[in-house]
Amino acid sequence: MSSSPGDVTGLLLAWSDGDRGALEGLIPLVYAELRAIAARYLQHERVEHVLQPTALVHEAYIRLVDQNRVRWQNRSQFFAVSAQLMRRILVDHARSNAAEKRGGGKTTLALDDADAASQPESVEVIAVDRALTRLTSIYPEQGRLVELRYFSGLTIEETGEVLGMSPANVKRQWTVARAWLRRELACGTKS
Amino acid sequence: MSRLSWSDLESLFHDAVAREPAARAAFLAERCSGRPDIQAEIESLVLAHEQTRSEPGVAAGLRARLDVGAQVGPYQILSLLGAGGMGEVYCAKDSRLKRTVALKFLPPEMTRDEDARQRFILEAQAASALDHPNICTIYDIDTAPDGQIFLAMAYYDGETLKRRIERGPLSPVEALDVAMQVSQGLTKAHEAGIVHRDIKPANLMVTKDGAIKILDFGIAKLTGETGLTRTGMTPGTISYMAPEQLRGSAVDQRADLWSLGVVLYEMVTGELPFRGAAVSHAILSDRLPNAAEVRPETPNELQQIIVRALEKRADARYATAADLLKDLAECRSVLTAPRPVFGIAGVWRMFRRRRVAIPAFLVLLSVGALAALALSRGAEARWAREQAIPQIERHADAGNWEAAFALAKRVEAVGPQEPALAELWPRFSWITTIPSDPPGAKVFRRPYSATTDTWEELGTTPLEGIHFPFGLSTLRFELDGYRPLLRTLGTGILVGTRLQVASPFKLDTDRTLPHDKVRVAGWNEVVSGESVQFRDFFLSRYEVTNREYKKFVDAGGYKRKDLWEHPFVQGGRTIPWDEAMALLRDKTGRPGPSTWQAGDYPEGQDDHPVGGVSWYEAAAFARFVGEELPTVHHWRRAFAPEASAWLLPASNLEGDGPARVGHFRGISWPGTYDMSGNVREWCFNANGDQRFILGGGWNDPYHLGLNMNYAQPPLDRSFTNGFRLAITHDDERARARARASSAPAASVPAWLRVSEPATRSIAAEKAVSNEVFEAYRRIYAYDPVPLNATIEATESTRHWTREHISFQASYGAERMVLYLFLPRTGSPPYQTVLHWPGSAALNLDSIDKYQVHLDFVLKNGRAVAFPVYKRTFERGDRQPLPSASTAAFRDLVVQQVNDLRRSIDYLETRPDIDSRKLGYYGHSWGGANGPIVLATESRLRAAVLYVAGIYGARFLPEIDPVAFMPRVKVPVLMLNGELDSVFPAETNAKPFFELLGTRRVDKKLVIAPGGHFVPSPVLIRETLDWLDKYLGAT
Repeated sequence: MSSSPGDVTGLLLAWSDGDRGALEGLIPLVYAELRAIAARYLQHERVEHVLQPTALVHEAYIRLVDQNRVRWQNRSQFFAVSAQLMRRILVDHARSNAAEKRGGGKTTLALDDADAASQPESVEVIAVDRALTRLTSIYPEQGRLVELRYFSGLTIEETGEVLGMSPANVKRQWTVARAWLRRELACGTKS
Repeated sequence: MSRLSWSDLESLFHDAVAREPAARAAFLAERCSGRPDIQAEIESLVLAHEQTRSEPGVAAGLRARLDVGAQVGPYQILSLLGAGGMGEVYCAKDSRLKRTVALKFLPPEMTRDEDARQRFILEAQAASALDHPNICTIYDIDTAPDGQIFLAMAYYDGETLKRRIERGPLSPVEALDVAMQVSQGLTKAHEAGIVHRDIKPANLMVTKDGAIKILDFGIAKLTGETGLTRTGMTPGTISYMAPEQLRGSAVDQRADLWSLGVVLYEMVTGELPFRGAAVSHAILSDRLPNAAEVRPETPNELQQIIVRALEKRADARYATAADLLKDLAECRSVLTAPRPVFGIAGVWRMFRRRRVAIPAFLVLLSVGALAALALSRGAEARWAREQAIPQIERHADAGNWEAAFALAKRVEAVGPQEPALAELWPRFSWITTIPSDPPGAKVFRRPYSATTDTWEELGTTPLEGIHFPFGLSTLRFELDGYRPLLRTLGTGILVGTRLQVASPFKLDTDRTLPHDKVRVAGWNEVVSGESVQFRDFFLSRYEVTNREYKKFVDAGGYKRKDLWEHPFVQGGRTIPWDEAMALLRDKTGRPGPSTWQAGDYPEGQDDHPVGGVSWYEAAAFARFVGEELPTVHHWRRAFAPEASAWLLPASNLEGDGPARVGHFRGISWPGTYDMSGNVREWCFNANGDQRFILGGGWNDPYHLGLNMNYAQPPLDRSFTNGFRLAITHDDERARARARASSAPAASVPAWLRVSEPATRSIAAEKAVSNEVFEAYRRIYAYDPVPLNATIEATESTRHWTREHISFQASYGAERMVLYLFLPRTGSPPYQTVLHWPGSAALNLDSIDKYQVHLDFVLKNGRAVAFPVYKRTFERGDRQPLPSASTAAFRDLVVQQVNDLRRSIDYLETRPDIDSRKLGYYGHSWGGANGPIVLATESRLRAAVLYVAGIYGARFLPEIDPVAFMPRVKVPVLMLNGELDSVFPAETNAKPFFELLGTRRVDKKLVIAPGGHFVPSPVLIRETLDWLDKYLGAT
């Protein structure tokens, strides 16, 4: 299941040079690694599983990417791709968990907000996923922004790089998008 | 019902949040009239937002929080201090010992596991045994009734190092002090076998006395997991982790020393050494950046310490905290020792710092002092030539002007003039003359963005023909008997080799200037179509503070009708005085600003700006003290947004709250603080039924700091509404003109003479039809006439050869001039870039005074053709330009465009020029006119428009660039500064970009940090990439 670092690095470089097909090859490799790491983490016996998507993605990055060959732009892109994959992994896991344990032992997400001095909050993965899907269907750009921030832990500046926006702009949008998400999580879907 | 677009949603949200809760509903009702669904949407979003802010770390009610007053054992909760990465911290009172403590609660999921609890208790025991002034004292560990474990620790009054760094970098000595104290604490802990594992600024407390306390000892080992997947960790923590920590290998005390090295770097530069999305990669493999590249004043000794602390391999680092402490102490004593006079000791020190190999014979100090000096001079000259000069050049290329300047000064101090240095000065500095009135004042300079208080002494005025580094500097003038004067000088807009100082800097005594004011020199301005001469006026250095405003409240200001001379207008109708006073209440219903309670302001905010006042209150206060609200003309004159790129980032915008006046370093050119940010400032003038309120407040986005037209209803009492005072001395007529209602100021460059700038709404304008456009285009046609070209002169430098060529213009009997710069690299035929300069060219009489910053194009083997457009340089006639709406102005523009086209006619005759590969580079004025050129001239293959945008004025249609934009088809790169005040990105650059007719895939807009300029590396990289792509690689 695990890939040799060279594959991923080569694909990453090819993809940033414009080879769209490389992305197709890249995703399953990264996905597999992220899943393996997540599974390893989740093995520990705990009453609650609090997952830190950022930390997992970092670990995947260290394992998969050949440090000497990538440029800084490649790295941002890696994390941008990982955000989506990470989300999928966590949701899949939460769903299978819920089916088995039937209520006991929730899988929660620690949502990092690197700018707030606050503690990462624990929120149910499935709820976040649902809320985020709804946000993306209405405001696709902002949905993508939230996904990048929460699931790959990109800072304001890096999110700006990936999306091609100034950090000030990202911050402004983020404030509103985050409020939107919280409201959605608190109240659920309005009709 | 249609859904709200994101940008509308976002802008309504932010406007609503900026208002106090009481006024919010009314505001939204007005803005969303007819759309109750939208109003409900915004209200619910704001509610969600508020819940986030007031209850950090709580989501969907998953975690209970303690209330103020709750009792936990012998401790009574006083307040929530913060929710850190590892749990919530409360301030509490120990009822037994009657002292204040800090209670730290660990998150439940960390301690629900019995094993984890035991481990944690053991750790806490070990940590509590550490008794040291730099380690936070742990008093107790206990369990709350709900099962949560908490620690009781000493409460320290102060702030975390994280907060301190957010306010700006520390001076090298301050940073060393902090690092030394942390080292001392770590020495003690390491001796006891305890490794902290999480040293970072958020875990270092700076008390009011300047003592450092290390927090959270031992907690980092809590979960027993190594590597990254540790609960409660935020991405910021990764930045401080040592490589072995990241890899999950065994960790010892040297990991703490690494983390301290990162903290040291961050303190000195204000930035992290390793960052980016893959910060872990950066830590493991990236080269450590040199702190001096970020902060040129970083001493070399300090840099060496950082390098050793941040060696990737643990065995190459400091082995113990004691070793590190020794080096820190030595560095500190070197820095605080008096500067050595040039002598043997000085020579030694200089060599040690510069890491030049010390010639063996210098070690023999028995050689006579004179001889040794003579020898050392030779070594220094070699250092200058071989090391310093190339380094200066590298700094200049990278746009690090201060670093280049500092190094150049050192080279200068070495001895006789280095010819290579003389050539380099113009690459990073101007020549300027600084006079003062009266003369004889000592002048000190420091870079505008410097945060340390180290000033460079320039000399005594008048300073004639001195070097002055590019960028913005702050100057201080001192003269006995006069008040010290603080001013700014410089700009990032690089044109011209001389920096002009408009008039001598005027010094005042206590008798000529009120103690709290600055003087702003008089000026002439066109107001409502008439020329008005304003006299010198006095503007308050600071915004009005709470303490000052309280005097007004306490003196019964809200009861004295005579102070309120303006009619109160609300919702279109005038309301009586009593009704108005009933509105001007604080949170508890007492008369006062909306941010106050019970007639008083929040504790500790005496010197914070008063906020939450209406325009009427500002006017009444002004009357109370016998001064005035500044008019928009006065306010804008003192503000001068051209320095926006430096001013805005140094201001309290997009911040967390109001700051003490003068706390943020952003000063405006006359020496006033917080004009941008902190609180918004009411001006006297009306704008319709609103009043201008400028500068933006702490809660506002950056671009509001550039908006010279922002206005609000006069009764608006948002908590960011404040003001400052002025004293003016204008004559009756000027005073009346200035105070009359003001039409908005459009973005019109200063050199463009317009009778009244029109505010354009580009969106509302219709595109010109093809037929009409063809008529415009024909105006630019000219009949072919012989060029009769002559090469008048040739000049060479290291990088180019310049030919001064003249030929017949395309109009009249004139001859025009073209400067053709040919590269020394590459081989003919050359790709060529045609340049249209910024408006400075209209005011300079020779191209030699113009900074041709296209060296980088020449160094890459391309030629640069620089036509001398009519009325620029030697083709100027010292008369003002015709007004923009006249036929004469139209004719001039057409001639200028044709000067460029004529130059291409000439280039086609040159075999050494590849006329199939011609590019266009327009700077500011040249960029704004770019669309006309590109739509009328078909021989250009690609264009770069540097800091261009839509003019705020209206022109005759046949010379209006907006009409030409859709007809531009060639690839265009636009480079703009994020905080440009001449062509603001949102309103003038983006619409320009959108209007260009070029295919989407062939046009690019880059908005980079900067003002009416972008950083050199961005300019160079983007331009060269663009030219390579569309003209072909050289």
